Amino acid sequence: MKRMKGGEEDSNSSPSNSPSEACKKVRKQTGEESEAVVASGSLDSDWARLPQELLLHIFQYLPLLDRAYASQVCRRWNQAFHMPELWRCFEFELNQPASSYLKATHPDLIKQIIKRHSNHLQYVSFKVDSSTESAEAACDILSQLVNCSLKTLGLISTARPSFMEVPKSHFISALTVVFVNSKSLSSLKIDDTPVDDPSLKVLVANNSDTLKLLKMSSCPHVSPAGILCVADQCHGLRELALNYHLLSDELLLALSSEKHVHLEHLRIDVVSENPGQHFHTIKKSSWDAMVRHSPKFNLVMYFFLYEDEFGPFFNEEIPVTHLYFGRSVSKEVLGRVGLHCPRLVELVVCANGLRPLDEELIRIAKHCTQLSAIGLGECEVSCSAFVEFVKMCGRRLSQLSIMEEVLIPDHKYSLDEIHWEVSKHLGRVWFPDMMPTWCRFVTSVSRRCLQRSRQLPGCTRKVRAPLA
Amino acid sequence: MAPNSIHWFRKGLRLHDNPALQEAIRGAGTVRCVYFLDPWFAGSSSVGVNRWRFLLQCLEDLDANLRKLNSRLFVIRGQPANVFPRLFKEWKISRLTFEYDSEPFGKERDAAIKKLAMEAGVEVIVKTSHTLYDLDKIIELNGAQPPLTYKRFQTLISRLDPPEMPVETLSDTLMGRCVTPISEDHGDKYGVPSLEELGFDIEGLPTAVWPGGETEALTRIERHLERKAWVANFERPRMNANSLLASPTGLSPYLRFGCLSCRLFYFKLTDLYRKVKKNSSPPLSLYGQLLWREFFYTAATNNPRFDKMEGNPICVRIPWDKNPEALAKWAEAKTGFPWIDAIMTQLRQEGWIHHLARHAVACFLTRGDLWISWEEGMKVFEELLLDADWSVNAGSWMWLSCSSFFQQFFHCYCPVGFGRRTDPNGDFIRRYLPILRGFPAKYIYDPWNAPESVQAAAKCIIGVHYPKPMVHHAEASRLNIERMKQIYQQLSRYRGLGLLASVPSTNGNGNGGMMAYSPGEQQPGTNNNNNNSHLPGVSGSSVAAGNGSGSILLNFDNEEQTRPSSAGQQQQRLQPLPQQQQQQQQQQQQQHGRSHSAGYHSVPDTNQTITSSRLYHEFAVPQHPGLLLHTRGITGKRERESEREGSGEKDPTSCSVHKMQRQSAETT
Repeated sequence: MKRMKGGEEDSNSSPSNSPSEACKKVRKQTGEESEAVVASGSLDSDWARLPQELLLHIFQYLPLLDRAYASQVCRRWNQAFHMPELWRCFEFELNQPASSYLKATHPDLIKQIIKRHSNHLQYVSFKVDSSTESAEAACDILSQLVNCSLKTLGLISTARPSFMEVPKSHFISALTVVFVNSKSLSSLKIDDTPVDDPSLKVLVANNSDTLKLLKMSSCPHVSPAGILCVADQCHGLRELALNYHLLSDELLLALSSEKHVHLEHLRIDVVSENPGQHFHTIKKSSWDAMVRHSPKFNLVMYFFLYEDEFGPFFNEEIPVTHLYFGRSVSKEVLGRVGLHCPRLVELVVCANGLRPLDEELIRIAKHCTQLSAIGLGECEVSCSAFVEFVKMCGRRLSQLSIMEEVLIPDHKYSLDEIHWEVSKHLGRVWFPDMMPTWCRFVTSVSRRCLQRSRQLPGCTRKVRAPLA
Repeated sequence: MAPNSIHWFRKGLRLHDNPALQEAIRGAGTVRCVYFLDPWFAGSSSVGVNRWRFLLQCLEDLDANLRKLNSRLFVIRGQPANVFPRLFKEWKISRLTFEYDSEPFGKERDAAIKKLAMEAGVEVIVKTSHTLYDLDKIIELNGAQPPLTYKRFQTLISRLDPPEMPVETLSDTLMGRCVTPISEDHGDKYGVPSLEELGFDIEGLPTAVWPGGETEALTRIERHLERKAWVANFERPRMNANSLLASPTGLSPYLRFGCLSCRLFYFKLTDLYRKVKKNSSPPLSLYGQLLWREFFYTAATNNPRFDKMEGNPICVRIPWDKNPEALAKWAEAKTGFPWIDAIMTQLRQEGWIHHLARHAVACFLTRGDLWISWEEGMKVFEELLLDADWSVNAGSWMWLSCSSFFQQFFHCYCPVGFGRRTDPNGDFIRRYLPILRGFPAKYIYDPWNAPESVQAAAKCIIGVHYPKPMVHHAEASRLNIERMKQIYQQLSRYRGLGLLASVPSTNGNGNGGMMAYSPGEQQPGTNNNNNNSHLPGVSGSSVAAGNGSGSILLNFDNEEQTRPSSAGQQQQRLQPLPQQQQQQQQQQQQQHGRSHSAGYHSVPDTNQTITSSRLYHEFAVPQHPGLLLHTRGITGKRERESEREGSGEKDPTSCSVHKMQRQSAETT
């Protein structure tokens, strides 16, 4: 904390210089000074006598590249460059020119880190582009991290999930090197990787006391039993992300056992592998146990399902807080959401059928009393129902992202009026989200639009006679 | 002696509402209307045959209309910079007029020509008529920065005077005593070339769905307004199966080439609205289509890298995948998603697709499914799309890929569901992909799900006669939405679980129009004094100052740009650490209480400078993008030009000549 305060002062005192410029200046000055000093007979410049502590402090605010330049100024600065404190955190970027627009961490630097600083590394992430080569390179580096104790490790595919292309045995052996050597791993992000049950066992055997976060969405080689073993042993686990097929009643009960700390965040991705897939259900009693144990936990669910796959969901109360529907979801399912999700905080619906969601939204406003954020994409809501919804939710709606096309003008409100009405209820200026029309200069006599005006009760929009 | 004038046509290919052309004629003895075209560049340019044909038709129409006034169009084969000096002499020119071009590259070209003209003692008159407003005025009104949200833009517009009225159409009366000297061999020397002459193979080329020219444009606008009057519906037309098809009232390509004046369109709309709605004053939304165009022109006018991710201060850097095979499948309509492929087929065949269809294919290529850079998609549109304008095209692509303008990113178009909702029967697909004609509506959007018997009956086996889907859409959207969220969370420094709150502008009250656009950023590489984002106190305060303002984006940019700017060659040796960014963010959160995190926050080891909780969230933020910066004052517009500069052109003027050549070769 102390260090940080210092940082602020530092920056305030020299607000106009970027670090790199400052660095250049320093270099220049030292050059000039040392000349002067040489003239007066002493080789030591004042700059080189800067206390190591201070140097470290300054270095922390310099990008690596600038630090590298600074390290060439003098021996002391070079020593400072290699101070362990500066190497606790590192992000390896592994990209191939053929598959990425981004530059990669230079191999020489990687070598140097492995040689001189691997024992200092604590927070490490690998960002890997879509090529298998890069993912393999990441595994190679991991395998060499034998004398380090990591606290966090993240394997991130920035484009396609390339770790899945690496031979599983190669990946597993690299990962287990970290698990075995780092006895105090606290967070691990290994989404979209071929991690499997046995390797999770190694994780648990070595890091069960320290593990607090585990993100492993879309890891097809892990079974429900594999993740259950983690939940059983790692009592400090507070954040967990996984796919729905790994979620079980047993898992929830394990997470809500007395020995277990409060869960803070559970993220579930529900992805359909093939159409017509059957999904299991989770008992209400298991969710209830979870809520009793961790009353404040957030349940984040992302759905990527076909409409007809929603059968097993939202038939009973579920403590979900953040809901995202990435594909079209039916009116009926949204109706069930309104009934069974009392803890809902955020709801995002990317698409829905052609019928307006009026009753569903009203129901959600009524039952989901925590709701503070809603986003609607390809949906339809009549303007009056929408205003009613906003009125019911009132100012707790801090995020309201509605595509302009969503709102269907009716007898009460036109599109030009609605933003005033909504703004009034929200207590702040609000507009619908707009998409560029991109030079669409076509007027079409929209059949749907005419149909709609017939369907909506009291709608006054009528087709007029052509102008005389 | 009365002056001899040249009017130089580029865009603005019309005789109506053409103020610069009027200036050419005013009091002049002779006038010659010229258009520059370089046949040697035509074949190699990135512009497709449909666009060339449209242009040639525009020129023919222009020539025909000029003939009615005893004048002709002079199509000059060559480059303006090379040919103008000769023309000035040969024709004893004392006045040159042209329409103002707001695009960075056009401005540069015009400045060079102006200089040439001045040296030759030729007076130059430039008039604005391709846009409704003086874009510089909008920028000035916004504190010398272009507005970065449409809402903000609308606010600014509403404070301006209405656009100027269109000027009179060129007529015999206007021509007065002004004549055009025409030689016997005019046709040979200055005639409009044919597609074959430009080196295009026109065998089997179907007739144009969109015939070019001012005459056609004026017919269309009348039809367009009649139809609007008949519907009396001034709201946004909703999309249906019919609107996907090219319409005889479509106007966008005509506005692009300036066959139709945007001001004429504007005032005709106004008149009609007043007539129908009994004199109530029209809302801004009436002009939505025109204003979007204007918005992108404004955003681009001072940003020569508007069509790039690198070095573009308003573009979010996203670690797009480089994947030429996937890109080719998309461009050649072989994705295996009938909805996407039908649209891309229509685009290639006809040169126009509905704007929502553009959204669909753009989303699919970028943030929705393939995760390929919007720049690639933009280039394909530039080749194929009749109405693709540099500013509007790049701007729309940035918008749709959520690379700028503080767009909500949650909404991804489903390559199956979106089409099905629009055209449940699938007629659009059957029209453009006849191979799928036999599929019943139930399966036509996802034929790979059809039972074998259905495929056999349709005489189309998926994987044999039509490709299997190239991506698993559900899986791809899961990955992509997560990535977008992380990228936006870094921009907004928001650490909570919410998806919607990740977008900077939505954190505020929707008027995210105060966005900063640092002037210093316009020349990346000039390591300006604002680049102090590594000093947390300073950049932090700028974040706090704006209510979800664009300075966030700016800082993001600065972070990336400070490093390489001073680096020279060695920059490739080392990569920056994420550490100071994290510290910076952490401090900002502490200082300004912007940390709304519902996530895990307890710190395992309080002595750590970096708390692990931060690290969790930093995991997947976009990285420092390729550190390559072509920083030396590049203002050119297309890739090849930058290459030219990079290769160290000796003479700066020859450079701009090169650019001019490319520019005119590419038909504007």
